[in-house]
Amino acid sequence: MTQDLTQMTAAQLGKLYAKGKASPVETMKAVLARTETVNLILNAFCRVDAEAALAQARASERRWKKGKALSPIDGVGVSIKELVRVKGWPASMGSKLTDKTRSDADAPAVARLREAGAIVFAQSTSSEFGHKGVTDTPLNGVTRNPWNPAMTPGGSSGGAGAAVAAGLGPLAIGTDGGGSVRIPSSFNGLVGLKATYGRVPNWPPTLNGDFSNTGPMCRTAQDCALMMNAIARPDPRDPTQLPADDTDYVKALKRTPKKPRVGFLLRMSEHPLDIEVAAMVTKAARQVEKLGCKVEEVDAPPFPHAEAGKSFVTQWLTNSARLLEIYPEARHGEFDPNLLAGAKAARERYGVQDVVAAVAIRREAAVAWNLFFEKYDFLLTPTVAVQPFAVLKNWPDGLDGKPNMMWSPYTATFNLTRHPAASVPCGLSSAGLPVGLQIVAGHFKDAAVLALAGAYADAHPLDFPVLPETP
Amino acid sequence: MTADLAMMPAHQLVKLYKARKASPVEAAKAAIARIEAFNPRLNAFQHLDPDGALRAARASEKRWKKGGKRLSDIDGVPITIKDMVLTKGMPTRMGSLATDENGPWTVEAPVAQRLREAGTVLLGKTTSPEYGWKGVTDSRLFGTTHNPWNLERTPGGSSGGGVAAEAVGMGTLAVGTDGAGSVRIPCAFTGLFGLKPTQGRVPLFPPSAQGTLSHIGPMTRTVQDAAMMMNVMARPDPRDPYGRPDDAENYLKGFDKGVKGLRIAYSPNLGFVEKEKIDRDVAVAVEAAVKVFRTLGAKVVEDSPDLQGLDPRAILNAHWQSNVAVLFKGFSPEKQALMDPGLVKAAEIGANLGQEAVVGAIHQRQQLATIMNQFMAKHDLLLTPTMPMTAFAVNHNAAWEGDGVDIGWTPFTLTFNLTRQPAATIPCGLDREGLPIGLQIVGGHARDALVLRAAAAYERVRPIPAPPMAHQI
Repeated sequence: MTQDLTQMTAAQLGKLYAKGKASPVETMKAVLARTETVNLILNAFCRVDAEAALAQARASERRWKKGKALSPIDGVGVSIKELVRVKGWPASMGSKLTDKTRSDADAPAVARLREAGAIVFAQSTSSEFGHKGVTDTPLNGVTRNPWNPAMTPGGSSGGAGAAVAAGLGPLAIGTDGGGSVRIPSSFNGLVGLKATYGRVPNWPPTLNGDFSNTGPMCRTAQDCALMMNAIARPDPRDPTQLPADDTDYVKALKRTPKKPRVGFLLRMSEHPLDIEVAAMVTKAARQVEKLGCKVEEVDAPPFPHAEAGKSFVTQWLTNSARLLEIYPEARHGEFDPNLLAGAKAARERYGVQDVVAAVAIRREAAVAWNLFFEKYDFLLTPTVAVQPFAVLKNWPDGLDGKPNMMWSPYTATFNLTRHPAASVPCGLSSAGLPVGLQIVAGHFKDAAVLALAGAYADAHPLDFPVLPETP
Repeated sequence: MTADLAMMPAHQLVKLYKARKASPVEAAKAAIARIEAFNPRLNAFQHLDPDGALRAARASEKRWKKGGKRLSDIDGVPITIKDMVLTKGMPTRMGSLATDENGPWTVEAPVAQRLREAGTVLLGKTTSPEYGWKGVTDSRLFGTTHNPWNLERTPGGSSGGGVAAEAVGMGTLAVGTDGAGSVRIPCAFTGLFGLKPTQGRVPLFPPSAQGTLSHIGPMTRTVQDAAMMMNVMARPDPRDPYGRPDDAENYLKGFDKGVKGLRIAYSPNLGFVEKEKIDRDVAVAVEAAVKVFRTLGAKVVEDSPDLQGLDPRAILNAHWQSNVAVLFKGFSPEKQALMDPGLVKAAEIGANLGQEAVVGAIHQRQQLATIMNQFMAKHDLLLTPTMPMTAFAVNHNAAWEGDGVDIGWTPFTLTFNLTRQPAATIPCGLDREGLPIGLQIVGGHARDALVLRAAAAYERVRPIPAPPMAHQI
């Protein structure tokens, strides 16, 4: 078999380019060819800019030939979630209501990726304004999971997750306001990182304010590190970014702390947990121990999880409610019914004091977890409490047949607290569906999170599904 | 001799300690003598602990003796801390009758902990209006605090006790808090240097009712003393989840480098303050101070940010009124009845704001900060007046006969609580009535050291005068 360039990681492609054994143009052509057919099934992309992609690939090829590659990911394809601005593309946000004129500037992460020579070739689907953890919208329809197209890829960065798992570009930019990088990373068998808030600059300010993070989704931690080296750079447009530091995330992959103290928490609170997910994540915790970590079962910090959850939901829904003011009432019927219901409920349910209390509780929750991370270098949890479920559902059914609204209890806490958190695949369930392990650490320890994710993932790689190019 | 010790800057005092020409006990005694002389007129302290201070001073004295090991560069320096900052074993009343006078006083705020670990000598807690709610300093708990430049005038607030003490040597260093200007307003009104650091630089715990609007900062008679305080206070603490990464910044490094070549923007009205609201003497003094920066070699241009219709006053009002509403609701009706009627009114207005108003204000805060960040990408520093006016009569809740519920009378300071930028005030002259005027120096995020450096450059040619009262001991 000849080499299938669509199944290569960015790190592998960079090495092939450097040796002249593959070129950005042939790679891009392979990715575009695969996209043309596979995207019909998955609906991972709402826009593919083949012409511009090939032009960028040719420019990259010239750079590699001259030995003047801009970075190790020069000439590697990257897709951008539709919540993130790309110059020349509309910021569609998965919504029928958004202004579809072309953006006149790149978001910081996109600008940095271009400066690194990456090929911005496609726009990936999101739930409307990223409001839910699965990916279907009135604008773009349903996005599917390449491991089983009857299943959801999760969300809200579902298009990004499906694309990378299916070989439609090895790199993807997702955004994560409550788990939207980690949930689809878990459901598609990827490594995804929500870094410490402010590590990856954002612009323009989003609907979900300082809950929202831009992050990498890839097949390996090394690819995430390569992306972080490009996108974790300061941009004057983000007033809440962290100060610049010169971390080399790739080099840092080799620097895991000696005998780190790791807390393992199987349940955040009283919520259902899929028995296979529980078994696989428990096994993963033991495997992490074999990597030289000191793993112990822990309790969540002495802070009521329900309060933190309420704080998150209050802020999330009242932010969504702003859409009711931004867009004319006559068109509200065009919103995803789930988004509209949440926004309207927020208007009725929450007064000014609820909002202020939610902000205060957020801080208290962050203090509690900060003190936890004084004792532990890492926390391990499942990423999601269930396996990928059928498309066109906003939540799965529970064992009792009733809707399970608490299917994703692990991720949003760390949007509240701003701690860095990654999802790393820990195997396939008996249904052949990926399950994710969440790795969390103290503030600013983004490189350490990726390093542990990498150490684990390298020891336990997944075989990705190769979908047929002829339907 | 003792009188000199009390007014001596910390950086000189510790030199005397080192040379064993003065001792921490003598310095503490000098400060206590001034408290006895001036405090009856100024009413700057909520709590005094002369015995504890002398004990701490004696312990420090041992460390400065031969073979001793001093704990920091400000070991043995007398300090005061605002009544809004928790201190273990010492009462914190938040300026409020609604707090329990019996404690327990079991929690030590990070900043108090760092200062005690540094060996400083804590004289007591300085007055604040109830929960720091207004920019002047009076309360039902302790009465009225006065301005040492003119006893009929307010020292400003909410850190009014801290500045009244600092200006006349009742302590060498003072800690204030700043949620909309509460370090910079009183420093401007009493002729002191004050810094509101970048948000998250000086850790804050327990959380303030004002969330990330609230900052803790130094209030001093020299810029160098503020830098020395920052070297102790600005250290990370896990109890502040908004703390910035530890960059081990040395605030004295490059302190003397001056402003030559720095790109400095001068904005007389910050792009939104109505010119008629700015006192003429203030405008003239600030203009003259800007010229000094030119003389010192800075590249000064007049430039104001385009706030695209945003009004920082409205954004801040929505934040703080709604925050106060939740604070107020946390008290029993009996306790609520003890609270400042002005605060109660603000809480009522806050409680009646719509959800949309508050969520909208949170988003506008980010938009404002985005605009200011891009403005600061063009300039190293920004100069504005600190206050539109000088100190006004005591026992008013606000300037311009306002009720204090609208905090818009301090537009220059509050903008940088919203944007989280470092902002300092330095005295730049006196008005027609002999009252101090402040120049505000603002930096980009985390550029606190640059703000200090520019203030120091100005101070070298325009030293900070003490109020006449300070010499009347």
